[in-house]
Amino acid sequence: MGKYTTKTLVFHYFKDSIRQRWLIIFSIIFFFLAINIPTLVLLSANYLPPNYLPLYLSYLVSLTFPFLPLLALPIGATSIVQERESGTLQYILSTRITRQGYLFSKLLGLLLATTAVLVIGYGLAALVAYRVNIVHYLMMIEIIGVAIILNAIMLLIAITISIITKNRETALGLAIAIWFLFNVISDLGQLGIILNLTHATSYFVLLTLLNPIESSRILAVMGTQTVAYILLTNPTQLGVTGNSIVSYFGQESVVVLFIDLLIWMLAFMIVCFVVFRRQDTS
Amino acid sequence: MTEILVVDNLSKKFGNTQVLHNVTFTVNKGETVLLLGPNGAGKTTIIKCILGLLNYHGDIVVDGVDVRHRGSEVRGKIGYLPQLSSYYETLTVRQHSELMASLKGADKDQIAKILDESGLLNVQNNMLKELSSGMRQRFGLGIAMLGDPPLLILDEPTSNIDIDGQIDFRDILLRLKKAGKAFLISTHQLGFDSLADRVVILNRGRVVAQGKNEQIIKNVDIKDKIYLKVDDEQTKLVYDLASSSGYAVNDKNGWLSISLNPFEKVQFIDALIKSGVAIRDILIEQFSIESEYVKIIQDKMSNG
Repeated sequence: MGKYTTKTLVFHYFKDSIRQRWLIIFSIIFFFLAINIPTLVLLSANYLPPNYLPLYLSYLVSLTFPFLPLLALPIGATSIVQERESGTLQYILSTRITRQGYLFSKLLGLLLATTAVLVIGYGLAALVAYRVNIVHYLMMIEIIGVAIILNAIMLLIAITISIITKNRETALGLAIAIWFLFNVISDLGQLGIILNLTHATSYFVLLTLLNPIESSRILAVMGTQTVAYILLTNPTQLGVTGNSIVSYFGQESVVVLFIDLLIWMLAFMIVCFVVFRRQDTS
Repeated sequence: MTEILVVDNLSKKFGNTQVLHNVTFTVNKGETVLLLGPNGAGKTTIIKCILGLLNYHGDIVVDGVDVRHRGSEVRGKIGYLPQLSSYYETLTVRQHSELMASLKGADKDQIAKILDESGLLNVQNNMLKELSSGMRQRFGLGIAMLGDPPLLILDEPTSNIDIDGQIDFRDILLRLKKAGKAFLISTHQLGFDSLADRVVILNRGRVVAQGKNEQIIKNVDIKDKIYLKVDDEQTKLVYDLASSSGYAVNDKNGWLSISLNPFEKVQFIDALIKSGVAIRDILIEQFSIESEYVKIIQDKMSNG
């Protein structure tokens, strides 16, 4: 019965998530962010050069990626704690489903719902706005792929928050604090280090790798063009952090960043499954 | 008789607080056991341990299967009705039943039968949030019955429903009991005595008494309280009748209150009417074990 039960619950959580107001609001905002109306106007007026897309996409990545966690963090962080507060979690776990089965269903349901938003947001934007051809679509697929990885990491962090917190408000506060930490505090910290310390590249690289939003942004930018081409034409696309990564890891940067994101994913997957399995459900 | 549930030396700590102290009791197949005790006695904690929702010390075995090691299998043998119905409110009765049937590994063909028996077939397309508290409780019991489990665990099943709902609910339980189901019912009300075979009384996480229902009831001096309003000239008649039956009467603001055995109250009221007393108003305060029952039991135990 395991597979069938999990499938039913995954489908339930997918449907439940997709109906959430936050997801709908985020989808609309994200779509408008992705189509970028000024670009659309310039494109319609033929003011943009024919090969504008790769450069544009790399800036689009830098613009949209910091906001991507706001999709998964609030929804994920409130998901389990809310069910615990209402008693639904205890009720569901009083059936034959195992804790791992429940958590897997929850994760997969939320991941599918949030991934749908990303794919539709970027994909639809690409379809209606960027006039992309098949080659450009490959770029979009790479960006969407990295966005899904970032989304999965944020979802796992959010679920972990939801498991360890006692009430919805704390979980939501902590989720927003995490987003703030990665986007603002961490960025200021990195700047501080680069400005104040000499020969601080290794610390700086480490800090970048410790920030999944920044790591995935750099990886996604590298997906739009080759690293060599970016460095040759417009290295500012990578930002200070991206250039440090490239100077430290060279051609291996893509692999390193990819492994970095996988470690983030794996680490939080282990943490949330282990903690959830051991904790009391009261 | 074979045991369907064995709770042996169950202990549980939340942080530094010990909430269960070596709780031991059993439920036999087809038997109804009441878990009685005031709020905070540990009834719900015991149930959560049986369902494998909490970590614990000691042993819990359901139908020969250890909860700690084979929790999923154990839960397949238990139908659980929580104290507060915690459903997915955005689903219809039918959708929720289908989801729960899937989670319990039950045949979906059972759903129509269960809804029919619970009197909910005609509201199966209604949202759960539209159901009355009595309907929700009947629905919860129906869901607990999915998969035909041999043991039903009900946590304060009638605490949130009106008298009509309670009567309907007890009728369903009686039917299930006759069908051979075993029950563990946690409650702080005494309305289930007619169903119970045995009683386990808890206080502050300890079993303070357990035994056959009749023994326990006989051992404690349970009293219901009736409040009567009668015409002034008939007050003396009430006093006389009460004292001849050995009851004391108190008069407060025109209400005559009499404490008496729950099983004798109907006879007493009948006697009043037959004597020509015109009862203008009546209130009945049923005995609650909330504080009194456990106190009585503890006193009895400390006195040996």
